[in-house]
Formats: sequence, structure tokens, C-alpha cells
Amino acid sequence: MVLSLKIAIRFILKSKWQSLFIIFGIAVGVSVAIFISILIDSLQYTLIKGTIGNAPHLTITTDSNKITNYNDLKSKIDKVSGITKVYPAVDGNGLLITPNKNYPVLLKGVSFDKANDIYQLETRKIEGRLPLARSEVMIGKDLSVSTGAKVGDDISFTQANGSKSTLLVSGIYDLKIATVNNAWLFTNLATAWAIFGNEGTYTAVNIQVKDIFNADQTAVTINKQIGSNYKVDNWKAQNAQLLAGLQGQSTSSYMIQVFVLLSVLISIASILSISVTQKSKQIGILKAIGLKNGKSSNIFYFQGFILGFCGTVLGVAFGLGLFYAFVTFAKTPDGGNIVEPLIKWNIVLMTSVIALAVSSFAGIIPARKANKLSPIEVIRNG
Amino acid sequence: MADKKSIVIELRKISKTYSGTVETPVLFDIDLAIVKGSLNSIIGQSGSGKSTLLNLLGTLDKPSLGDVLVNGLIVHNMDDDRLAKLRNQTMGFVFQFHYLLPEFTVLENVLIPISIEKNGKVSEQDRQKAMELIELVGLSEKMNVMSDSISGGQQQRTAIARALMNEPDIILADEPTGNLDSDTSRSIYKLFCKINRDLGTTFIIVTHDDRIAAQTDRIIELKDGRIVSDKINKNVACPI
Ligand SMILES: Nc1ncnc2c1ncn2[C@@H]1O[C@H](COP(=O)(O)OP(=O)(O)O)[C@@H](O)[C@H]1O
Ligand SMILES: [Mg+2]
Repeated sequence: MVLSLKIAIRFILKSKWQSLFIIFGIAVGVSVAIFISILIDSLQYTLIKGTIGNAPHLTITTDSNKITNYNDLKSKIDKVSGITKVYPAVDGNGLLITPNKNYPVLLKGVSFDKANDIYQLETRKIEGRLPLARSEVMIGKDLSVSTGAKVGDDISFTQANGSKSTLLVSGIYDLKIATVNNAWLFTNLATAWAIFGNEGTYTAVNIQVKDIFNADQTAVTINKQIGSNYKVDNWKAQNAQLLAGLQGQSTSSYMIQVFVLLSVLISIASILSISVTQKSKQIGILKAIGLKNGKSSNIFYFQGFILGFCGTVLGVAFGLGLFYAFVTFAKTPDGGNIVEPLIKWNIVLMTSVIALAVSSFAGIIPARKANKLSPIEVIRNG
Repeated sequence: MADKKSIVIELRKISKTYSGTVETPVLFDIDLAIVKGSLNSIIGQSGSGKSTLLNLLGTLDKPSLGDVLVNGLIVHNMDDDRLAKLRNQTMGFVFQFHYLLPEFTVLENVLIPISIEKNGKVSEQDRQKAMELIELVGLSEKMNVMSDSISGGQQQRTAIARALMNEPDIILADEPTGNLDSDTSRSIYKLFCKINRDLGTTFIIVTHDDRIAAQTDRIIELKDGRIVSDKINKNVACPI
């Protein structure tokens, strides 16, 4: 071990309380920075998830509203990486007619095979069962309340061209989004085909991706694969305004972090400066016996680095702990998470590296003091 | 007078004036050559300039006029790092306030000079040598205790062992027993004398105790910044 490092360690250990104080100070700063950034990322993620809900991240449509070669399309889509679910649908608008009022609705014919079930209706179901049989339909909680339709009731679905179908309510779902709960009816593909015609064709292909923030890029890649006859919509394009707002929020969180780290810098620098004065006797005697100016400076750079390292490690642990505590204790009345945790490890790493750099940099003032200290001052004054 | 080769440190026409709010002239036109292997003492009243002189000899301070030569080389133009290396290789210091590093053990303190020389990479051999020096100053049992947990006399012995670690040409001691009781003082001087006789290390000891000075090879007396007497003692025997 080089001498300056060894001396730095001994200096740190000798003034235990002071060192712990600095480490604790850095840790508090780092943990606040990390907690804020993770919390804001997670809140944004939660908000976005809430907004897009179980809606598809990408939707493929054509101008004619008709997709005839689904299998061909699917094999092309499967070549693109980062896709978790591909899910064809037969959608059509219509009215739900009741004696008092007509409700505009969207009838969605989907397949209930588990692997590709975007909407996870099985888990979102609050009553009854999935609409697996002919002419069965599942309606949203809100629509059930407003129309009074219950499991086992018949409802009447009327298309724009006037053709009428009677459907049996097999179950009620809650997708936690009012607009969906009010308007979407789910049925099986066979029923949808029977109502809308065009057996074997689809109106849209829905896709879910692993990284929702990269959905726009994935959309471009898929479009390249399947050709320009198809239109690939992504959730980001549809929510541009929301995303711009979130971007502004992120920027303010970076500002907070910058100021937190700045205050860490100032406090370590000032405490380390005091420590040069405390250790001037030692530095003086070391210089008298031959320690060079540069090496005496290094002692304080090393101190800054070591204290910074301990403080950062502790701070990351604090920050993460605080966040997990927050996630664990902040619950909705029904026991769900208020925030969906989203930890961007590269941000955690970056914050740590910056904190470490800042603490090492804080050694600069004491290091220069040590560099200038003349051994004769110490020896003359006792 | 000894021939040129055997001179370790030499002062030529040295004057020193401290400049602060007022100019304080302290040393006037001093010429002094220290012979290799000799045991020297500098005496004089408090304020006569002894410490100032010793700090100039040790290259810790710079003269206002004149030259300091260490092993024949003028130190005037050497930068801080060059001087640091020179001190590390040729000099050992023992001060009145022993100045050990309280963060380190006795053994580690003794190893500091070699540690500085080798940037921390001390060998087993260096360690062995440090332990021998600690034994020489009679502190073997205290070797691994922290240096601020031993008595003043023991700390001064540790400082002496440290001063010897890099086998310096010369040891400069400024009232090394100023803070110690007379028994301990006597044993420290006995140690200096023994090291001087056994290892041939040159010593310059600042003291205000005439009885101790009387047991050195050469007694230089300062008064008001000038050398007023310079006596050689023949056949000095170390005190028992
Ligand atoms: N840094 C300084 N500035 C001004 N005067 C000083 C300084 N150091 C010492 N002196 C003065 O120089 C004189 C000699 O001091 P010193 O060399 O310490 O003498 P001694 O060691 O013989 O007691 C004293 O009068 C002292 O007050
Ligand atoms: Mg003095």
C-alpha cells in the first residue's frame, strides 16, 4: 500500500467520530439523490402504466381495416426482439340499446389463449367467467352499473348498419380505467366474426413490448419488417403531451440532485480543510523527515475518496432501503402499490460515480493546504 | 582542522533575520563546519539562536545570507522535494516535542523514514532493522502499542530509533530531553553517545545543560546570535 493511502486510512480511523460524521453526511446526500430519482422514475412509470393500462403498446392496422394474412404477419413480427405478446383482434363499434338510453360501445373479439392475453381478463374479472361460448360477452364494471346489466342478462348490440345481435353477459371485468370499463365489450373471435362477417380476418394486431419506453423504436423496426401497407401506432405517439410533461419533471429532479451533491461537496471540503489544520503537526513532521509535497497532498485526496466511497455505498443502501420502505408502506386502500417500483440501475450507478468524484474533488482544498505547509512552522511552534 | 572530505554539514557566513512586522536579526555571520563522526553540542542561553541555527543545519529553514552545505553540496537552489529527499537520506531529527505520529504504533513510527523512501513498500528486512533499533533504545515490549500511549521518555526513545532508521550521516537534536526528568535525560544522552561511538553517526545536540555538553567532543557556545566559544574535548568517554 502506498504511504499516503496508509496515512489517510490512519487519519480517518484516528478521528472516528469526525469521519463517521462526514460519511453520514455524504450518505444522507447520496440517499436523498437516489431516493428522489428512483421515486420520480417510479411515479412516472406508475402514471404511464396507469395511462396505457392494459392497452396494447403497439397496434398494427391497415387503411382497409382488414388484415387477412395474420400468420404471415406474426412470423415477421416474431423476428423483432423485445416483444412479449402478439394479439390479433376483431373490433367493431356499435350501440348498446336499453329502454332508457343508448350506450356507444366497442366490441372486441379476442382469443383467450393465456400466452398472448394482453388484457389478462382472467385476473381482472370481478364476477362470472370469461366469454368463451358463442354469443357470450364480458362487460366492464362501470357499464354494468350504468346499464344495470348483470351476469346472466341478455344485452342488445346494434351496429351502424342497423344489424342487431343479442349477447349474453358471462362476466364483469374491471380494467381500472373508466373509459374502458364504460365502453369495451369482450367476446371470443368466433362471435366477433359471426357479428361483423369476414371470418378469418382481423381489424388490428396488438403488440406488447418489454421496454415500453422504447416502443417508438420497436414500432419503426416492425414497420420495416412488415412493409408500409401497414400502419404501426405506438402509445408514446398517442401520449406525446404526457411524456413532455414527465420530461420536465425529470429535469427538475436532476436539478435537485445537482444541488444535493453540491452541498455534499461543500460540507466534505470544509470538514477536510479543518482536518488539515488538526493534522498539521503530523504533516509537518512527515515533511521534515522527507515526505514530498505531492505525497502530503495525496493523503487528503485519498481521505476524500475513502470517505466518499463509504458514504456513497451507505447512501445507495439508505436510498434503496428508503424507497423499498416507501413502496412497502405506501399502499392503496385495497392493498395495492401506490407506486410501481422502477429502478434504473444506470442512474444509480451514475449518481454514485458523481458522488465519488465530487468527494474526491473535495480533497482539493485541504490537499493544497497540505502542499503549502512548511515543516518549519510546525517545528518552531511546537 | 579536519580535511574537507570529512565535513558533513557546513555553514558559510550565515546570517538570519526573521522578517515579520518587525525585523528580528537572530544570527550574525556564522561559520561552522561539523566533522563526520563527531558528537557536538550547542549551548547558550534561551533566545541566543540555537534552534534557529539547528533548523538551518537541517535545511528546514533558509538563511538570509550565506550558504549551507550538506556533504559538500550547496542547498540554496534545491527545491522542496529535493530537500525533502536530502533530509530523508542524510539526516535524522530529534525534537524537544518528540513529534511521533499518534495514529501509528511505535514500530510503524520507526519505519516512517524508510516508508517515505520506498513509498510504503517496506521489506521484512526493514522491519527487522526497525525492531533492532527499538531494541537498541530499549523499547522491545512497547513495539506494537500506539505511540501516544507510552511515556514521554519512551516517545523520545522512539523518535531516536526513527531518526536512526535510514542510517543518516547526522542526527540533529534540539533540546531532546527538555521535557524529561533527569534520570531519563541521562539515559537518553548515554544512548546518543553509545550510538555515536558504535555506529559513527554524527550528532549535533542543542542543550542548555552544561554537564551534558561537557561529555561531548565539541562544545559550541552561542551568545546573541554569534559563536562566542568553540571548544574541543579530547578523549570523552560515554557516561555509564
Ligand atoms: N519565527 C520567528 N520570528 C521572529 N522571531 C523569532 C522567530 N523564531 C525565533 N525568533 C527569535 O529569535 C531568537 C532566537 O530564537 P531561537 O533560535 O529559538 O533561540 P534558542 O533556541 O536559543 O532559544 C529569539 O529572540 C526569538 O524570539
Ligand atoms: Mg530553542
